Amino acid sequence: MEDMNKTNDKIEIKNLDLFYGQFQALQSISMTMKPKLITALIGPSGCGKSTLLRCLNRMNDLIRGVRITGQVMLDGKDIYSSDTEITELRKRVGMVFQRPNPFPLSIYDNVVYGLRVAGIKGKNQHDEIAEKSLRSAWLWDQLKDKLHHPALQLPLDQQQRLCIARLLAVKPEVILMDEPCSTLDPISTSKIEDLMHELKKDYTIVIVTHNMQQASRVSDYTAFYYIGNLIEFADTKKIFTAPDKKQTEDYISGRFG
Amino acid sequence: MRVSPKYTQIGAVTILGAATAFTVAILIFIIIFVLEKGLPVLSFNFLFTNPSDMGRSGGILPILIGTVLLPVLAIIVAAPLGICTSVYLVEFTLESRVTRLIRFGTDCLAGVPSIIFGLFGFIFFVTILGMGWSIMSGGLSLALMILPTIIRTSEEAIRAVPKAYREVSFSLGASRWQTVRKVVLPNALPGVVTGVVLGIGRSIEETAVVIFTAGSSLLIPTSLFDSTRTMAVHFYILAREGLSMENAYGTAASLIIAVLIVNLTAYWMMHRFIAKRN
Repeated sequence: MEDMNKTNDKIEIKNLDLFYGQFQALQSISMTMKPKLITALIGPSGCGKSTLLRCLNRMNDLIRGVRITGQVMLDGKDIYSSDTEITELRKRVGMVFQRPNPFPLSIYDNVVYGLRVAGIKGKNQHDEIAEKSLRSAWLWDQLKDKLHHPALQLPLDQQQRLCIARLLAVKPEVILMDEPCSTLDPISTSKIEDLMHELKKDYTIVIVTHNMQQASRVSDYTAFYYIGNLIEFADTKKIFTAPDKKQTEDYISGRFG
Repeated sequence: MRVSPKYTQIGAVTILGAATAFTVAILIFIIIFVLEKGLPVLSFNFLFTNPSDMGRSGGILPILIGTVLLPVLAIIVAAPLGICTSVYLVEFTLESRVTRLIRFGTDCLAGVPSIIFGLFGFIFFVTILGMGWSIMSGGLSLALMILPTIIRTSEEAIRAVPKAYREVSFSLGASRWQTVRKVVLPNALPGVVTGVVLGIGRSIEETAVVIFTAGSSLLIPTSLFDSTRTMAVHFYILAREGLSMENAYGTAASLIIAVLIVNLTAYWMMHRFIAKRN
C-alpha cells in the first residue's frame, strides 16, 4: 500500500459512515481506487460491499432513510458536496448491475439511451458511438446485423455485455460492477472477465464479487469487508497469499462466509 | 378425517370452473338478450336519423353525437390530470402520511355512487358556474367521476414497472423526469390505457351524472354549452316512460356495440404499440 501515490487516486473514500435509519451499515471507511486498475470488494453477504459501491455514484440517494457522512473524492473533488450535479456524476461513474437489465427496447436503442438523455443528437454520431461501444464490449460482430432486434431476446451474457456497451456509450471514467457475473455460467463469466481486462486500459473499475477466484483473477487491489468494516485493503496478490489479518485469511480460505 | 388431496383438487377445480362458467354464461346471456331484441331495430337509418315523437320513432343521431362527445370531453380532461397525478404520486413523492391520505381519498372517491357526482356537477357546474345543462357540465362531471379510476389504475401500472429499469436509467445520467418519460411511462402504458378505457366505458354507460348535468335534449348540439342526451339516458327514458321498448333495445344494442368497439380498438392499439417496441 505504500506505493500508492495519494495524488494519483481516481477515487478516495475518507471516513465514510452510512446509516440506514438507526442501523450503521458502513463504519468509517477509508480507501482509494487507482486509475485504470481494477479494485475488487469482497466479503460475505451483508458486509456492506454493494452499499459502498453504490456510494460511489450516489445510487444510495434513491433509498429512503440513508444518511452518509464523510467524503468520496473523485479526482480530488467531493461528490457529496452540495454543488455536485448528480446526473453528471453518474455519467462519469457508470454502473453494471447484478442482473443483466437491458430496457425492453431494441439493441440499438439500448446502446444510445444514455446519449439521448444527455441530449446528444445526430443519427451519424449515434451510429458511430453505438458501433464503437458494441465493439468495445465485443458484441459488434455478432450483433451488427440485428441492431434493431429486441435486446431481451439475446442470451444472458450478451445482455450483460450489451449493458456494458450501453454504459460505455456515455463515456464514463469509472465503471462500478455489482456482481456482474452472478447470473452467468462459467463460460459467459470468463468472457466478461476477459472484457474487464481489456476495459482496464481505459477505465477505472471497481467490482463487487462473491466469487473469490474472480477477485483474484481480475483485480489489482482487493478490499475485504466484514460487517460494515474494511478489514484489509492491499494488493490482490498479497490479500490472497499473505493477508495481514486473520479474518481475511479465514474468509479467503473458505472458513466462513 | 383428512380428504385426499386428489379429491380436494378435483373439488376445487370443479368449483372454480363452475364459478367461471356461471359468470361467463350470465354475461353472454345479457349480451345475447339485448342484441336479439335490439339488432332487428339497428340500421343505418336508425343510427343516422333524428328521433321523432320523443323517440317513439325515428333514429338516434343526436344521441349518438352526445354519446361520443361526453366521454371524449371527460377523457380529454381526466386522462392527463389522472396520469400526471399518478406519476407525481409514484415517482416524485416519498410514501408518507400525505400520499396515503391522497390514496385513501381517491379510493373513497372511486367508491362514491355516481349520482353524488351528478348532484355535485348539477350544483357546481350547472348552477354555480352557470354552464347550464350542457355537454360541458356533463363532460366535466364525468371527468371527476372517472378520475379516481384512472389515477388508481395508472398508479398501479407505474408502480409495476421494474425498479431495475429506473436504476439503470439513473445510472446512465438520466434525470427522474427523463426516466419517467423514456422508461417508466412506455412500460406502464398497457396498464395506463386499461385505466383510460375503463374510464371511457364508465362514462359511456353512465346515466345518473348525465341526466343531472347534461340534461336530455333530443336536438343535435351545436356547441359545448348545449344540452344533449347519451344512449344510456335515452334508453332509460324510453324504457321508463314506456315510449318505445323497441327503440330502447335498439339503443341498448348500439351502446353495447359501441363499448365493444372502444375496448377492441384500445386493445388493438396497445398490442400494436407493444409489438412495435419489442
